[in-house]
Amino acid sequence: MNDSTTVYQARRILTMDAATPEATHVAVGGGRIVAVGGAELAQRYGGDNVDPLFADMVLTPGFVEGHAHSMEGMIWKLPYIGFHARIHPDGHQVDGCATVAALVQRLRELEAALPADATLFAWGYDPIYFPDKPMRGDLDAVSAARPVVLFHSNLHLITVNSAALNAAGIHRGNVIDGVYVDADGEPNGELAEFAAVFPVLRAVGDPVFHGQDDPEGLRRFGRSCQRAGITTTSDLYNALEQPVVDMFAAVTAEADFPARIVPALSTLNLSPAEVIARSEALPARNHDKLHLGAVKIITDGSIQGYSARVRRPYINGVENGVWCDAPAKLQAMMRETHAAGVKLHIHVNGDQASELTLDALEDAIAKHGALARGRRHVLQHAQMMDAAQLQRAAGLGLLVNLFANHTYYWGDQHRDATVGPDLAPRMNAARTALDAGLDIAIHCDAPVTPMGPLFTAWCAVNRRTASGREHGRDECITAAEALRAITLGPANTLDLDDRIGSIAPGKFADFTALDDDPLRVPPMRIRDIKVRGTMLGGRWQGA
Amino acid sequence: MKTMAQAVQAAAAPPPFSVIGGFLGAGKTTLLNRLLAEPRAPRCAVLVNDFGDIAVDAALIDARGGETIAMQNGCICCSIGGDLARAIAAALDLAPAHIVVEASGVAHPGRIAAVARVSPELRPGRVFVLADAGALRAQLQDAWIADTVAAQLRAADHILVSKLDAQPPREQAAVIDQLAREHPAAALSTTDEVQWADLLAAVDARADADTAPADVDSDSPDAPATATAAAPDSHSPDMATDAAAPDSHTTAANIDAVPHARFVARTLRADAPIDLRRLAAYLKSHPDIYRLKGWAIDPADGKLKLLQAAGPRLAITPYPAGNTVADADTTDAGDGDGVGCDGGDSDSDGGGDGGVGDSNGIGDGDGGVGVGDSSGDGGGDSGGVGGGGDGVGDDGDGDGDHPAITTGILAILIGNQNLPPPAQILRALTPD
Ligand SMILES: [Zn+2]
Repeated sequence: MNDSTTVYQARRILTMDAATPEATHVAVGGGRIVAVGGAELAQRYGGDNVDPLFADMVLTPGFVEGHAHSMEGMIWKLPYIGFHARIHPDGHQVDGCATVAALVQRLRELEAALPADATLFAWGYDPIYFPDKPMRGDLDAVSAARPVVLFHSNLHLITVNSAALNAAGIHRGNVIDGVYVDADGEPNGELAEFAAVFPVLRAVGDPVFHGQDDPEGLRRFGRSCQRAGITTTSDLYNALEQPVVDMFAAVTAEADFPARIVPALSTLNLSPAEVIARSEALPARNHDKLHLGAVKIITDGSIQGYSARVRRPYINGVENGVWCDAPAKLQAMMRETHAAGVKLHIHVNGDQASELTLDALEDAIAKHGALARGRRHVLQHAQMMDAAQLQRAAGLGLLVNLFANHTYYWGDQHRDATVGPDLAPRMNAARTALDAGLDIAIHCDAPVTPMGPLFTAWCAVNRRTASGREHGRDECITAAEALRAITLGPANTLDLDDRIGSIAPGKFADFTALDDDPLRVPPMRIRDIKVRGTMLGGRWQGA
Repeated sequence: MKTMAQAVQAAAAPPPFSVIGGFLGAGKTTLLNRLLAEPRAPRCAVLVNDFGDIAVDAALIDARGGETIAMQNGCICCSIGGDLARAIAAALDLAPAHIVVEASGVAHPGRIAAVARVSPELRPGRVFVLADAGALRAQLQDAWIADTVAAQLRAADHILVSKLDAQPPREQAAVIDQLAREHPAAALSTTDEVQWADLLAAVDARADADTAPADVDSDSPDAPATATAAAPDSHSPDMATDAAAPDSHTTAANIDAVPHARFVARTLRADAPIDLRRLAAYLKSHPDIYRLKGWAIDPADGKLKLLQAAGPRLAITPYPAGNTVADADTTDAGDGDGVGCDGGDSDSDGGGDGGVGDSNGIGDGDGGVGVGDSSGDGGGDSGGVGGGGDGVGDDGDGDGDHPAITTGILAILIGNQNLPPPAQILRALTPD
């Protein structure tokens, strides 16, 4: 990009900028937005020329995914066999396996292509969607001799065949917690938790698809973002060891790498002093497409895994969940890093986890004031925060990033099996959060759920579960509010709202081009809108 | 139950796999440092979370790397670094004699230990859980952590109480009493009593016994018959005996049914009066008992005594012994000017004439009067002893009520595998 300025005309431009909420033309030069407005821009900047690239498209600010993981790219090392169709980073759709027969057939095809003594691994399996969930018997039909290991979509459980169980030494005589059994007491192939999973992966090999050091995986992640219309994404939990930092810096700088990435440093196994030092050193590697410096603290687990810390026990009698570290240590980490001016993304799924976090940040902000340069800490997921907690968060100047996709993927399970019908419809309370004065983001947590900001927006606007049930309709937000929550809202959570998130002069020329208008289609059709491509810093790439 | 796992074990003798759990601050690192410095430790692989906190005398270190410290005693300390599977795999490559894993402060140690019941490369060891005597009772009232702490303790084969001596005597009794009541199947001892070499030898012996064919298990004629049955999780044959005894006021708990163990921890508990002179004599004639710590009402004067023995000498101290316990509201501590009786010298003074004075606080057995007013004000009174009447009481209901002793004894014993069952000891101590 040089001095030359191009004026693009679009069917409609939704800018998310209060000064010019709607436009038809945008002038782009040097990778930045020069001006937004009407036809007059052609004369002012285009020498009366208009580029018709977007003439039949609706432009929005480039979507911003405020909570995803680069593992979304790494995980495609393994074949996907999930229930829902999913877009491969290379663009082709992988059909869902919606029946047991389809699953077995797909696995047989994969099996036939493997060398003799390899284990068949696949990912994306979710037994929730099968009334008679496929078990080891079904997988034995894939292969009696070769171990078959399916990673569940939550990545914590596996389902395996008899060959894998035998290799691991698991049988009806040594069943432990985490080894699920059938009505006859035989292990049914489903395994949860370290103690049950370790012997299997030890025996059949660990495919290690979760490393963050694979450049091809990072490129796949970039392509997945691009296809979903995302021009900036977080990578919200990364140990950022030196080789990984070097690789990220190099790969994101490639001219055709199609997204800006905001990795957050994981605090796992680090002291507050180490976190502070690394957080201060990392931004030296920053460039326009890589933004290091923020930190991620995980306080609790997941609600569907019964490991989120909840104030009220789960309805099946399971206790209140699992802390990722002792509460006193978690709070000390928050207080000490805040005191040093470190920006925090804090994973809080259960309401006790958000309580612990609010207590610590209230204390820290009272002592040391807010972060400099308008940065604000972000409560990530924040799925069970109630009105009082959201008010507290607003009072403290925090931001929340809600896990809107949960409504669809696990809303039924939350009502029937986890937190129950009293609390489930109140989860991911976007309406209450907005009314409390919070700027919000909504997210997918890929690879936990697929990337697709328009789908995420659809979830927040319609609040339907996978079974079609309405789920807390009073927490629905409008399409305009949802569009902000996938653009300027998350840009704010990533401290990039001065550069991205809206279409305004001076910002990066990051746009998402759609085939229809998310503010004008019926709300239930928002998810059907197609992404035609993205512009990143003035560089166009079709989806 | 001949399994593939056992076939593999026969070939390769997989190491016992033990876990040390306990909440943040309970003292795991201190204990692990002691293990690494233990001269008689077998070739242990010790997997730790806070590698940086491992501090052992440099003279004991053979080699230090980024993720491992090799000790001269043959132990190797490895960082878990957030990936337990990788750490265990690396430890297995070293073919250690024993693997000891430090569970994180919030982990459920039983869920980690369970891997050894499945993996053919590991044998079940033991789950040790530390309990911080100074913090435990507050932790069990804390909505953020009570369930975690309680779940950790439930997983314990052996509860190790840390910082007990730093607590006021009444609090010591209350903590031990609560743990003994709520976790009757777990062995119970203080961290001070831990001799790692003995503990691990006991674990190894049990792991051998659990995996060996039953008919080979014959080298110890003293082993209790109930233990050779080797039911996987039976820790308490003696409890069953007691429960079957009709009309018994004796409850014996914490029986560690480890055959051939060289380190055994048991809890003595009885509501019936115990003759402390007999206890002193008993200890003298039972060298299998290494240590005793407890509390009892002395039938000779009806007053509460603190019991401590290391080896054959039993010290019987009036309680409260004039120190600054936090219970001054309920007793004037007597005018006993610190007089105690050393039952180890002889039984001549046996405590009966100990001159404790007229302290009003000692329980009189009616349940209404007792040291520590444990009947429920809970107002900062740690209320260890007295009240209650039946010595069992409810648990953890948050009222600070910890009924313990009105007439009998509560004590923990450490000894070797010949330590008699508590019921048998108690029979020897109660008047005929
Ligand atoms: Zn996440």
